[in-house]
Amino acid sequence: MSETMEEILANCMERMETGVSLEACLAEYPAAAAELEPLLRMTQQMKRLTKVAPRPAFAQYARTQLEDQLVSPRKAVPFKGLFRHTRQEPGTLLQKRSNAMGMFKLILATVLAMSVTTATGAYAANASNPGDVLHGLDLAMENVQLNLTSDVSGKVQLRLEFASERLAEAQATFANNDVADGQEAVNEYGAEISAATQLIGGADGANQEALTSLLQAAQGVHQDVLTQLLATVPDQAKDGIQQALDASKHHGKPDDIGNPNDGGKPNGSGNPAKNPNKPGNPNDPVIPTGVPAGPPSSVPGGPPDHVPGKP
Amino acid sequence: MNPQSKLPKLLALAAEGDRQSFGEFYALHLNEIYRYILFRIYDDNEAEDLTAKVFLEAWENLTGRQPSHQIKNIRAWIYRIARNKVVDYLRTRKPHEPLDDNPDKKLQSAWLETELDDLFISQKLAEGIRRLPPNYQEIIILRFINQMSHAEAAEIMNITESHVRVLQYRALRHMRDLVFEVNNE
Repeated sequence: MSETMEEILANCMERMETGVSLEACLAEYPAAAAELEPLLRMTQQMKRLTKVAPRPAFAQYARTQLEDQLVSPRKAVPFKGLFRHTRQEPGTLLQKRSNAMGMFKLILATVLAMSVTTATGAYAANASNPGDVLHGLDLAMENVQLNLTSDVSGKVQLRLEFASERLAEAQATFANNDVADGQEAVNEYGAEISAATQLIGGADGANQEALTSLLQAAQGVHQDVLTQLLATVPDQAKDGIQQALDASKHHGKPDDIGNPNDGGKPNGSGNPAKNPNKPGNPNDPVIPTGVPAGPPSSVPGGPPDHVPGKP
Repeated sequence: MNPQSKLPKLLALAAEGDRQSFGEFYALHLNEIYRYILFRIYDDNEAEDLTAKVFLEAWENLTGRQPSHQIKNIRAWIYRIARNKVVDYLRTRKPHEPLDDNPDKKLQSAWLETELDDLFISQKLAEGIRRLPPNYQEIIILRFINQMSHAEAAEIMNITESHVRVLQYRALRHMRDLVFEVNNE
């Protein structure tokens, strides 16, 4: 009994999986070759789609979040929309505003769990620390993500995500007694928060309110981490962390977010005058991630003398 | 060493509560499960959420399982969880969320890993897959994107191998016509 087309196709595919060429297969079935060839070529082309993969940031968050859940599987964590804080549509952001605190509690989980992830080396490039060879690559990938994100909400959420990563890096480097790199990570954290604040200043009224809530929720978590760091780092690093803590407490307050009608220019903090390239609205050019907002000696997120209301 | 051969040991350790082993299991399967979900639902945000839920359910399933209930085929097991998640998602997707709402945008970040030279062809193929009926979509994803054997695809789809052969032939013919349409648009 002669083979059906289904069988011929399947046999050809199985043989090609063992290394037989497409042409050799077609030569064996000359009567079916005209029908077989486009189908077999299409299956070969579809192998390209195996390159499709989730975003590295998702892979990292998902793993840390999953491992966190595995420690206490009964813990109530809002898994629905878990990773949306990395990229939300402006409309859905408002709808999910009530979940903002819950979502950003996850940032803490990530910050705390990232040291575990880093130890496994599974995401070496993405979890590199200042001073590491791969840290530049890590920052470059973050910059690509920022450039591919067109809406201000998405950019703010990425900035907050990166701020959390900088804090995790600070934890890791201080834990290794690497004070200089730890301080650099804290500075970069301040720059991310400053950039997020200025982006929020450029958002429209409704989104600005929602994004401000997200920023405040994130900073509540960040402040816990900074306070823990402050208690454990060597004396020479305490000033920088205290300044980051002060700046974190300040950023996100209503007077710090730019009026949506003022063209997105922030009101004082974030050191905009010294950083004209800082994005103040979604159309502004994006600065490379990790570039501190001010000069190296500046307070992370902007010097104290630029903080309104600071004594 | 074939990473798949490590799976039974990894899962045995994970079932005893070893997070590290489950993390390795996750790393081995993350990309293929994500791809499976993404090409079924064509929304990368939702695909990320569903992927995370698949692994959480896998953990719960694993740790709540009686020791006598062995998982015979680990890959098929995780795919079946993913399949159920996709089915639930498609069943409950709100009617006002159109499937064809700017698919390029929805897949934008997923394409980051794709070489630019491949992008054009890949997008044509993805658009062809998107237009296929669900059972054709599934066989194409399992067999040609995630490179599973006839036997593996049959187990996941709960059909016979001969049915897989018939289905893949029909799916490829249908897709050939769709890609031709896409090329002419």
